[in-house]
Amino acid sequence: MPHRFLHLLWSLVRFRYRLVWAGARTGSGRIALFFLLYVLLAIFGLFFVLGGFGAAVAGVQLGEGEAITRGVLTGLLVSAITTSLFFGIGTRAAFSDAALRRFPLSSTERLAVRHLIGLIDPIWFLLSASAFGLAVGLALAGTGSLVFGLVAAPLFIVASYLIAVLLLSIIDRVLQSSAGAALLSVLSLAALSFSGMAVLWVMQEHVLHAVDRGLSFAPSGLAAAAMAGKDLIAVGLNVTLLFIWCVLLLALVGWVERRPGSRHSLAVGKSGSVNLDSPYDRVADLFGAGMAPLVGKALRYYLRSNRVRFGLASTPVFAFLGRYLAHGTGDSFEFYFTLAFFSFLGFSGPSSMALNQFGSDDEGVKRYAVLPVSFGAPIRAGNIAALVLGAAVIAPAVAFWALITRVSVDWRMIVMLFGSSLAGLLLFNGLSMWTTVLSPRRIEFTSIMGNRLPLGGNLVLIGGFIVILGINFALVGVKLNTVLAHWWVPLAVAGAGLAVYIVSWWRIGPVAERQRARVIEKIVG
Amino acid sequence: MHEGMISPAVRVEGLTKRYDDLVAVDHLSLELPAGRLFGFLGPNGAGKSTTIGCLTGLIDPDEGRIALLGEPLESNSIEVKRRIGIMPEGLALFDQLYAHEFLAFNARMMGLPEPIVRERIEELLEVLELATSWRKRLAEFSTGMRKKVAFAAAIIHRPEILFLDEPFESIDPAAVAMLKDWLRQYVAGGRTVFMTSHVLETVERLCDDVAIINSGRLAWRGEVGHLASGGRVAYDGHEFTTLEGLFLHLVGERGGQLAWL
Repeated sequence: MPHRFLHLLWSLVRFRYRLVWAGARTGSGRIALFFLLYVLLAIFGLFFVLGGFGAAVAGVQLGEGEAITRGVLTGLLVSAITTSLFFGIGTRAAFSDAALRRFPLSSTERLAVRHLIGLIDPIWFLLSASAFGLAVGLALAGTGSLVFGLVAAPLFIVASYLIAVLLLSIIDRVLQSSAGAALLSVLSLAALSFSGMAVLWVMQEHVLHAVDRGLSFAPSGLAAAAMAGKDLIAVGLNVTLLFIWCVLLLALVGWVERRPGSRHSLAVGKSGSVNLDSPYDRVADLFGAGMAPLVGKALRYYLRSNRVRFGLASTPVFAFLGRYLAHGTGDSFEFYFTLAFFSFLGFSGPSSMALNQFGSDDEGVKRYAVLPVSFGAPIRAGNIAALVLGAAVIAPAVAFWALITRVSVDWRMIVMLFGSSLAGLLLFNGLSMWTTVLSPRRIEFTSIMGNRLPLGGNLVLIGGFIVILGINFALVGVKLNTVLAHWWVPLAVAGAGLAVYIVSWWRIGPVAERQRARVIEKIVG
Repeated sequence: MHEGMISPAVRVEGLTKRYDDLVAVDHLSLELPAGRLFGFLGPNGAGKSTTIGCLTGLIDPDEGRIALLGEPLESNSIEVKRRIGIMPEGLALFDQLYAHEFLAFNARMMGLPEPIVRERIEELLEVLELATSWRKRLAEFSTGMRKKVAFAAAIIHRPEILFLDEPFESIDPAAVAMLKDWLRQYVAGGRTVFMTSHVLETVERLCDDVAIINSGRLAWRGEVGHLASGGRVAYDGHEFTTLEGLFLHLVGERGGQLAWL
């Protein structure tokens, strides 16, 4: 590796952490950063001692060193992938390929720089603690070579990282196509529908044995064999295979990332003239001439975001969730779960944009300040768009639930599901006006996976899950007939949600006006 | 305002804007009659964009009073904003919209009737050579094309004052020539243009009036229309035949040398 490349890589790593340091400019920001580092080191120690070292020693004592190591490493691999997929942790490149083009780096070097910097994200630091703990534990227990273990551990982490990046890149490519969101939603629904059957199938002894045998050729199996093996030739071969995995995965990542992405086509009139009467505008016109342009703009942003499209297309999942989670526990539990999850049904699709409405406007956020409207108007308009889209999925989801449920459907259940959905829709949309103003965060419109929400948005989502859990806890042990006798309760809660929504709508204007400069600064930078 | 007096298009008194310890605009006072093409000049960081931001309601000033078309901006901003057009620094475009959607958004926000919205959008896209780019979102436009869209959005409702921040930067020479003609035609109809630019030659040929600010303070204000026809500007015991000469005198020439170059 040329000295120039290493020097540039080192400079970019230092630059990245200088940016992090610059981001923590305030005194409290620096204290938070130190605290975070302290916590990270403590967790690293815990992962090393308990997760890795402990598992290795326990495995050796049980005489199942390699099998337990393989299991632990497979668990680490799955955790890394799911954490990356759902929370966007661990695969965020500090510098884009375009940003790196200004430096004297070839395309292969740019790929290497981006992913080497991605690999020093804290999540991989924590997972490597467990992997190194396993290597050290197995060597100290007399079952493996410390040298080979210490080579296998980082190779395993690199392979795990590359698998996560590859999956995210593929999903990203799929979602860039116009049918991508729908396709991924169907796949998610299928996965959810058949996962129970798949688990039962895997639990059969011969299948389990075949899966374990298959895993021995996967990065986790090869790393486990390299860490726990005694035959140095076999161990060397496993390390070589692990290295080949890394090279192949890197080549695949490079190939996928270099493929040109597809672009969306637009809605212009068939005759080739400007189409100013699109469905967006027809829906927006329902809200009056003053609000229509803002609602039209918001609807376009929501429905052009693949993240929102995916969220909306995935709403049938809500109808499945109760049936899936209450498997074997009876009709009442299935209905209670569904009732609880439906409180989040209407908000879940647009939530990624509704909670942070200016987030993907970039410089456009300034436009609102120079238009003849108050700064609260675009927030209300964006909220109307989220409300319209959320409300549109409620009736189909309730109907879908009625079709697929094993519960004997009663009209009161339908009313309760509608009530729960409306309550959540109004309450969460009311709160999202506040998070938009008080917790704005600039985000990339095109980024798909990961948690892009600001702190306020995350708090509302966590609150949403607490509501779901709360409904379930409240209903545990209550008979279905008793619950159905109180069919009007969700409607009353929807009334309370409406009150929150109206107060938010009314009060957000002056607050938004006061916060205007701060919001623009946060979004534009 | 006394009966019979014509309000200036722009009146600024003691405008001040601070960012922590930095005074971006320092007690700036200006009065600009209607029907003029006004150039607002200064070196980088002098406070030009901050001043335009304050004049258009994008930035709240810390001190001072602003009146546009005789109406105080602070108390009547929504009505005033309807009567002005803005091409701000950074352009403030919505990148996920198509050009015609963005123009329609602005036109409708300004209250134009629907037939006029359609007519003007088609005409603007055609004349600005953006018609062939209907299939691209603004995020995919080049810098020059984005600037044309922002310009079109600023003028689509025929505002009484047009605020333009660096209007000619990144635009091709043919389009620059066309925009200059439009601006001349625009002020000939009694409307006002308030623009910033670093291209002093263009300002000298185009503008009637110029103000130069330095470190947030007004350094010079005067007419420059006669410079292009061989006239002179006298200031501080010197006579200047070009706007560039006057500008460098006011902001200080930078004579740094790079020995290694």
